[in-house]
Amino acid sequence: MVHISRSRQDRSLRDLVDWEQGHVSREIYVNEDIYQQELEQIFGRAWLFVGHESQVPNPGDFFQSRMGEESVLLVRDRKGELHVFLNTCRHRGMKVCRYDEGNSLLFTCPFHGWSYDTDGRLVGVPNFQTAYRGELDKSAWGLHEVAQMSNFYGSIWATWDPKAPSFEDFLGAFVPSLRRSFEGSDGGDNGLEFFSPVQKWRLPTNWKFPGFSFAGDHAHGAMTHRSTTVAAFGPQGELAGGDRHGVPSRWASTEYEMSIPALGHGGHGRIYEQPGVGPYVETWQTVLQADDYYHEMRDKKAEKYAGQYLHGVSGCVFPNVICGGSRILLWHPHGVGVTESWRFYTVDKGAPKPVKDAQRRYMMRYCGPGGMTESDDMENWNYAYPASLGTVARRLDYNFQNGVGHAYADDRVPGFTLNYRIGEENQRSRLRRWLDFMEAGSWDELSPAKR
Amino acid sequence: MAERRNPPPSRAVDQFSITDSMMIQDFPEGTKIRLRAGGVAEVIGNPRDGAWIFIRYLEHPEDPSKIGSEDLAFCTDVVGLV
Ligand code: FES
Ligand SMILES: [Fe+2]
Repeated sequence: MVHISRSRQDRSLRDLVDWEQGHVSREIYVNEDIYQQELEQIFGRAWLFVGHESQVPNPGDFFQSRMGEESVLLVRDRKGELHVFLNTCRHRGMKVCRYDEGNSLLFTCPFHGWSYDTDGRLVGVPNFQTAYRGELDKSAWGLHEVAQMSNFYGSIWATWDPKAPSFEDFLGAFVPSLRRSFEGSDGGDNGLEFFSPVQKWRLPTNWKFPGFSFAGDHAHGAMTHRSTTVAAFGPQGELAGGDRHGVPSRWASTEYEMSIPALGHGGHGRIYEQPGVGPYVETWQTVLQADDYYHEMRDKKAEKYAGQYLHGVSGCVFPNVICGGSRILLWHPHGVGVTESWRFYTVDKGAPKPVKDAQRRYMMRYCGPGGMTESDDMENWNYAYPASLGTVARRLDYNFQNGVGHAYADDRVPGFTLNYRIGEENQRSRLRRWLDFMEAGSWDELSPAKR
Repeated sequence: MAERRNPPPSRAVDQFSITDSMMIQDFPEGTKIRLRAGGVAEVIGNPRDGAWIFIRYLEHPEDPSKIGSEDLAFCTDVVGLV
C-alpha cells in the first residue's frame, strides 16, 4: 500500500520517481514522511550489511552495528554461533550494550539489571524469586533477534523480515561478484579481515546522496576529484605519474556501468578480452615487502582462475552498502537529513604486518572522513541536500537522464544490464528497486519470492 | 475486597535496604560466598559487570537437590564471603 502524504499534494510515489525517463522528484530525498516509509519498507525488509566474522573471532566477542536507524549487536555466543540482536532491553528499552566492540559473558542492562546470555536468552532478573515470585516467563523475554542472518564468505548480513528470500536469492546474478569482493588477493574465499575500529561520522545529507551515487556516478570523477587526482596519493607514493589509484593491471578490458535493474545492485564492472588474471604491475614502490607479497598472491590467484574470465562488478548491494576495493562503505539513515557513514577497511588475513599497515594508511588517506576523495564527495552531498530543501527548490526534479534508453544485455555477464561507463544506469536501477520496495505491501509483492 | 492471592514476602531476609549489595566485580573464580536467601555458593565465572556472578551451590537451605547446580547471583543476593 502506498502511503500518500498531504504535504506532497497527494502525488503518488510512482509520479515522483520516473526512473524510465530519468525524472526524479527532490521530495524523495527531503520529505520526512517518505523517509519514515523508507525505514519501514526498505530498512525493515531488505537484507542489510552488519559486519564480518573477523570482528568477532572468539566466543563472547561482540560488535555493535546498525540496521537502519537501530543499534544491533553482532555476537558470537559461547558455543561459537553468530547472532544479530536488536540492542534494546526487553524490560524498559535501555541499550544493553554501549561499547563499540568487546568480549562479554553476559549483556547486563544498566537500568534494572536484566541480564542476557550471549545467545540472547534472558538469564538474570534481579529479585526473580522475591519480587517477581518466580512467575516471569524468562524464555519469552530474550533479546530480539533478526528474522534471518547469512554468513556470506565471512561477511554477515541480516534482515528483520521472515518473508525475505534467502540472501543469495536477494543478490541474484550479483553472487559471484560479491563473493570475489570477500576473496583474499590470492583468490581464496573468505580471505579478508577487517581493521578495527570502524570509522564513523555523520553527514548533513540524505542517505541516498552517497548511497545511490557511489559506484554509480562516474561522471563526477573528473570534476569533483580533479585536485586529488593531480595530487597523486596512490599506493605508489612519490612515483612520478602516479595517481590516486594503484596501478591497474594492463590486461585488456572495457569498463561499463553494470547493474541488475530488477534488484538494484550494481556498480562499475569490467569485461575482459582474455581469461585469467593479468600480469602483476609493481605498485608499492615505497613499501618494502608489499610488492613481493602481492606479486606472490597474484600468482596464486592466476593459478586458481586459469582459463576463466573474471568479468564482474564491484559495487552496491541495495540499499546502502558498497563492497570491494579494500573497503566497505556503509551509509545508515539517521533522520531524513543526516547520514551516519561507516568505513570498514579490509586486508588479506595472512598479509605480513608492514603490508597491513601500508594498506590501512593508503585507505585512510584515500577515503573516510579524513581521506582525500571522500572529502571531495562530502562537499557535494552536504551542499546538494540543503540546496534541495527550499519551497521552490523541492518543486524541481533531479535529472537522471544520462544514458537513458541505451542499456543492453551482454551474454558474457548474464543477469546484468550494461551501459557506457560514464552514466546513470546504476542510479536508475537503485531508484527502480527503491520504488518497488516503497510500493510493495510486503515481500509477497516483491521479487524474488522466498523459496 | 478480593482476597490477596499472593502476598508479598515478609521474611527477615527481605528487610534489607533494596540497594544494599556486595562489590562482586572483582571476585575471582573459586571465591566462596554466602547468599542472602541462605546457603553457600562458589563463584564459577565473573562477567565483571558488577551486577551478576555465575555460581555453583555448595549448600542450599531449602532445596538440597540444588547443591552442585549452577545459577546466576545478583549483587544484592550476596551478603558476604565465607
Ligand atoms: S530497562 Fe533493562 S532492566 Fe529495566
Ligand atoms: Fe534514580
